[in-house]
Amino acid sequence: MFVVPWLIGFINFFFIPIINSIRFSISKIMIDNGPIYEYLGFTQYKYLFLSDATFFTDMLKTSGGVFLDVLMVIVFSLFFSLILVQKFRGRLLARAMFFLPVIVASGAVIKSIRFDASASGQFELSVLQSILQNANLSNDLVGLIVRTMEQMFQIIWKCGIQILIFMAGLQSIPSTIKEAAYVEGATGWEYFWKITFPMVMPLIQLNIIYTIIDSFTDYTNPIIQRIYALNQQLDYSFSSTIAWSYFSIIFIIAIVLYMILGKLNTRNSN
Amino acid sequence: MITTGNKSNIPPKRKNVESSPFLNKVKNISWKISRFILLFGMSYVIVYPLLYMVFRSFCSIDDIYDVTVKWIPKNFTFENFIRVYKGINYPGVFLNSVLVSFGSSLLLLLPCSFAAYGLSRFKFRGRGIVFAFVLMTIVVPQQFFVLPSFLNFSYFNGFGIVPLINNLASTQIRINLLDSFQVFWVPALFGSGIRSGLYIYIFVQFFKALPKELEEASYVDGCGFTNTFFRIIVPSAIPVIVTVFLFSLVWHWNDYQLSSVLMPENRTISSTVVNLKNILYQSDRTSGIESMIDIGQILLDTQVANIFLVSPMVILYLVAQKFFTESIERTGLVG
Repeated sequence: MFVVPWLIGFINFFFIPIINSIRFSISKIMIDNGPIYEYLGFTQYKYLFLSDATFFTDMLKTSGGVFLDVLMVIVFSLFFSLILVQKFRGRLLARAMFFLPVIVASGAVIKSIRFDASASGQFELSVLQSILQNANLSNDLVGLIVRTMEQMFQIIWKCGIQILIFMAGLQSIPSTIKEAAYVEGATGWEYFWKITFPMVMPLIQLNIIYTIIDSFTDYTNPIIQRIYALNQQLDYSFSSTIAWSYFSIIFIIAIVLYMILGKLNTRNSN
Repeated sequence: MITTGNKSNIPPKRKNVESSPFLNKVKNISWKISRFILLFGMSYVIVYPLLYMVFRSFCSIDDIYDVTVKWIPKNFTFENFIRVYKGINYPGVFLNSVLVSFGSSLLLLLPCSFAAYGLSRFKFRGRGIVFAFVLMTIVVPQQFFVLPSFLNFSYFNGFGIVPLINNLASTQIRINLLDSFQVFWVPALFGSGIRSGLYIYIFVQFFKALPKELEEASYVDGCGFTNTFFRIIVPSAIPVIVTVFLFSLVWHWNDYQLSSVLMPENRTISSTVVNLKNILYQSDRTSGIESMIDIGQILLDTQVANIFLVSPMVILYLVAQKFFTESIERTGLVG
């Protein structure tokens, strides 16, 4: 009974639109006093998968990028949430700082911010590069370091929610466990790998899924930009074709990862 | 080394290193310093673009091309603010945004908390499926239903009532909700605003942790379901309600995908910023002097518009910071 209002809303504003967008993707739409659909079948899908020039290269590029992103975001946010849960002076300020990107960057601003505040301007990377090269490091290594630094900005700006989730999880570990571990003589390093890590493992799983969805639907992603552009040109059917193909691929990736991680989880706890 | 085989599974007891107090102190201080440096560096990365934005917006065009100007502008000016303020009709779009975000966030609260209460307290048939639907709305990205809901609202059927009337009375009523606030308010009223699945999830987690005794007592005293909900549950859920309200406020404020499609003429501030070039230089473009627009000026205008967009939310965040960061932990979003 309590759920009824939401259920009505769900069906009307979520379920029907989604079914409709499937219909869009397999038909041609003309608008003339109400939408008129002309059935096309799967020709648009065929076109997208077999003869579209950019879809697959974009897809591969984004998948690679997302993979790196996820790895770095998880490591970064776990690391910093471990620091932030400690008690020190000014920790409220520090925590507030880390959540700031979520407020600012969930919208339109991030695009222009990313453009003019990219890391090369922030850290004077060319200087770093020449220093490293003078230190007789191989070019590949220098390139790797510089690229990582360049991405620093994006990574940190993506970490807000993940840090919050990790922090909540870390704080929920009862302090008696910590005391017991120290009485038994565990060092901090052992404590982290034997107790903290297994306990936040489910959260890592959650965060990985969240980060995947988040970075695949990122504004800077070429496919998303294409969908957005098509939306603005009111080319309904092809944009929903792209959307459906793109997101079904993401879902498959996410679900497979989720299952693998879940397996790992249960094995760990046994 | 006296080790016996049968005790091998007991870890050898570590010898307690008697470290001197001085060494301990050094260790402690060096850790503190390195922690400070790490956090400071990260904060720098986060604050840098915001500061850059603020400083740049006070520059004049000459300063943009001046290499020696990195932070402090040489010619301090308010001109950019005034130009953009007029160009995008800031009071108008600001008011639109406020109405959209505050209105829908307020309307969201009731149906979402209602649904969450139902899901967390009562066992009914299909509860698992409903909960799965809730989770689905979190995962499915917005881009899916931007277009269908565009059509849905431009030929709004009023939950099937309008076509029914049209059929019965053979009229041609068409309700076009585009460009009106109902585009956001009506879904919010039925708990389908932006990311509302997440809010329901937060509520569910909170209600699960709430002790049942209070409600049972109120049932014994003769309160009905709705009475119990409003008198017992709502007062004890105020911190969560504030959290959900703030989050949905921020997300509705920052949304540009839905609002630029659903409200193409009556713009909100975020969709204005995304389409800034089209709006600000529209008059120039029709007269054919588009190429005359200075790139430096475009840069400046973008910065100013960003400030216009971001500053209300940042101020709100600074004021209500506690609710954003602390209450998520208290509500056990993770649990």
